Amino acid sequence: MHKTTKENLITDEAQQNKVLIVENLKKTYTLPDHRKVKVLDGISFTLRKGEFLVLLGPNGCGKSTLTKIITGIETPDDGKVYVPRGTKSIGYAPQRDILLPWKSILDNITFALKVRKKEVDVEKLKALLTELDLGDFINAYPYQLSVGMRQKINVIRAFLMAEDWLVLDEPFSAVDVNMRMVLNRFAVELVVSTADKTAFSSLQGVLEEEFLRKYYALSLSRDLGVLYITHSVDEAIMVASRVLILSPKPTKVVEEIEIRFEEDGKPIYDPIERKSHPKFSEYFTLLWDKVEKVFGGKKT
Amino acid sequence: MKEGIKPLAVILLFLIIWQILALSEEVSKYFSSPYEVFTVLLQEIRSSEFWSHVIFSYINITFGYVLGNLLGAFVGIVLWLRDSLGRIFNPILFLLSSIPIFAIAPMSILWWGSGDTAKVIIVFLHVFFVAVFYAYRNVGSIRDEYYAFFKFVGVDDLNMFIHIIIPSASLWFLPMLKLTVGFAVLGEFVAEFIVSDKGIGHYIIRATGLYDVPRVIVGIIFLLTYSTVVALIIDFLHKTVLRKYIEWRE
Repeated sequence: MHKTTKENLITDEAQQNKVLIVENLKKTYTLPDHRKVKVLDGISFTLRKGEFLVLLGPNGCGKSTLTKIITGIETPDDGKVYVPRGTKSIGYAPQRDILLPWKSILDNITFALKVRKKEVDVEKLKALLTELDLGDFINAYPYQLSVGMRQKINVIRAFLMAEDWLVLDEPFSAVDVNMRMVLNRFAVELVVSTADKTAFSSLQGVLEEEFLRKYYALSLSRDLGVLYITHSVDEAIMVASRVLILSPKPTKVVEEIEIRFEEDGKPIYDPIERKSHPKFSEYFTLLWDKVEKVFGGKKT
Repeated sequence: MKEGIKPLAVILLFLIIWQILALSEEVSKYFSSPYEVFTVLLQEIRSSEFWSHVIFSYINITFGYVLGNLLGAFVGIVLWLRDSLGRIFNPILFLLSSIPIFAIAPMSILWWGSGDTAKVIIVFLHVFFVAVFYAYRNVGSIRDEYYAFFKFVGVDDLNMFIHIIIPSASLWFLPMLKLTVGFAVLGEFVAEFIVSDKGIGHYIIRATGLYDVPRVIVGIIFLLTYSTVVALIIDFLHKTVLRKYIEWRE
C-alpha cells in the first residue's frame, strides 16, 4: 500500500523515520459524463514528527483526495507518498464519520483498536468518553447520535489509533464550539506532549488534571506528526505549527507559513491562549491576505 | 396490523363481486365462484392425496430456494470482493440468467431426469442467478468508503466478512429472500409443467385438462400460500432482527 523509503530519498530525516514525504501527487477524476477533472496537480510537501501541519484550502479543492492518498485509500495517478520504514500506525479521521451502524459506540472504537492489535483498557476508554460528554452514549448505536457526536467518536478513534501519524480531515465541522476547542487542544497536545511536556501546564486550570492523566494513559507517549485539514483561517492559526495554503483545484501548495507564538521565550501551543495573543491578529491578517488572493481567484 | 386490513378489505370486496357475478351461469362456467372454490378446498384438505402433491412441491421449492439463495449470495459476495472476477463474470452471469427457464426446462429431463432432483435444480437455477445479482449489487450498499476505511485500519478479509459484510448483509439478505421466493415457486411450477406425476403444478395442469376451474384455483392458492408464509416470516425477522439499527441507513 505504502511505498517505503527508496534510494532516491535518503535524507537523514527519512532515515531516522522522522518524516513523511508527499511527492508530486497527481490525480484526475473522470466524471460520469466523461469529463476529466484534475484534482491534484503535482502537490509536494513533507510532514515531520512533532509537527502540526495544517492544510488550508477552499472547499472542493482536493484536500480529502489528498488525505485518502496519504492513508492509502486511494491511489494517485502519479507521484508518491513515502511513509518511513517502521511506521506503526496512521490514525485517520475521514471527513464523513465512518462508524459501523451495528456496533455500539464503544465497540466501534475498540474494534478498530483491536484490529490494530492495541491493548484496550475499556474502563479508561469509558472514562475518556464520559469526560468528552459522551458518557450516556457509550452503548448507543451511531444512528442515535447527532452528526457532531459522531464526528467526535470518529476523531477520538483516530487519536487512539495513531502512533506515528495522525490525519484529520476537517474533523470538527459539526462539533460545537466548546468541544471543538477541547478536541483541538487534544490534537495539539498529542504532538506537543512528547516534545514539550510542560507546554500544557497552563491548560490544567481549564481541563481537569484527572482528565489529562486519563488521557495520557490512553495516548501513551507517542511521537506524532499531525496533518490537519481545514478551511478555517482561525482554526489554522490556533493549532498549527506550519500552514500550507492550497489553491483551488487542481491543488498546489501556494504559500507556506510558519506559525509560532511565544511568551517569555516559551512557545505557546494552547489554542485558547493563542487566540487571545496579540500576534493572533497579525497572523490572521497575513493569512487572510493570502487566502483571499488564492481562494478569490476561483470566483473571478 | 392496521396496514394489513386495507388489502384484506380489497380482497373481500373482490370475492363478493366475484360471487355476485358468478350467479350468472356464463361466468361461473369459466371462472367458478368463491363458494365453489371454498367447498372444493375443504374437500381437498381432507384428502391425503392432495397433501402429497403439496408436500412434494413445498419440499422441492424449499431445497432449491435455500440452496439458490445461499450459494447465490456467496458467489455474489465473492465477485464483489474480488472485483476483477466480478468484471469478468458479471456479464457472463447476466447472459446465463436471461435464458428463459422455459427454454431449458425441457432439456433438463435429458440432463437431470424427471425426478425430484431435476425439480430442485430448476428451482435452484431460477433463484441462484437472481440471488447472485442481488448480492453483487447490494453488498456495496454499505458505502464503499466503509470497506476502504476498514481496509486502511487493517481489517483482513475474514474479519471484513464477520464484522462488516455479514452484518451489513442483513440489510439486503432478507429483501433478497423475499424477492426470490416468487422465482422459486415459478421454477417449481415450470419444472412440474414439463414433466411430473406429482406436485401442485401437476395438480393444476391435470385440473386444467379437465376444465376443473375450482381445482385450478385451489392449486394456485397453495402456490400463493408458500410465498405468502415465507414473506410473512421474512417481514417478522426484518422487524425483530433489524430493529436495533434499522435507522442507520442514511
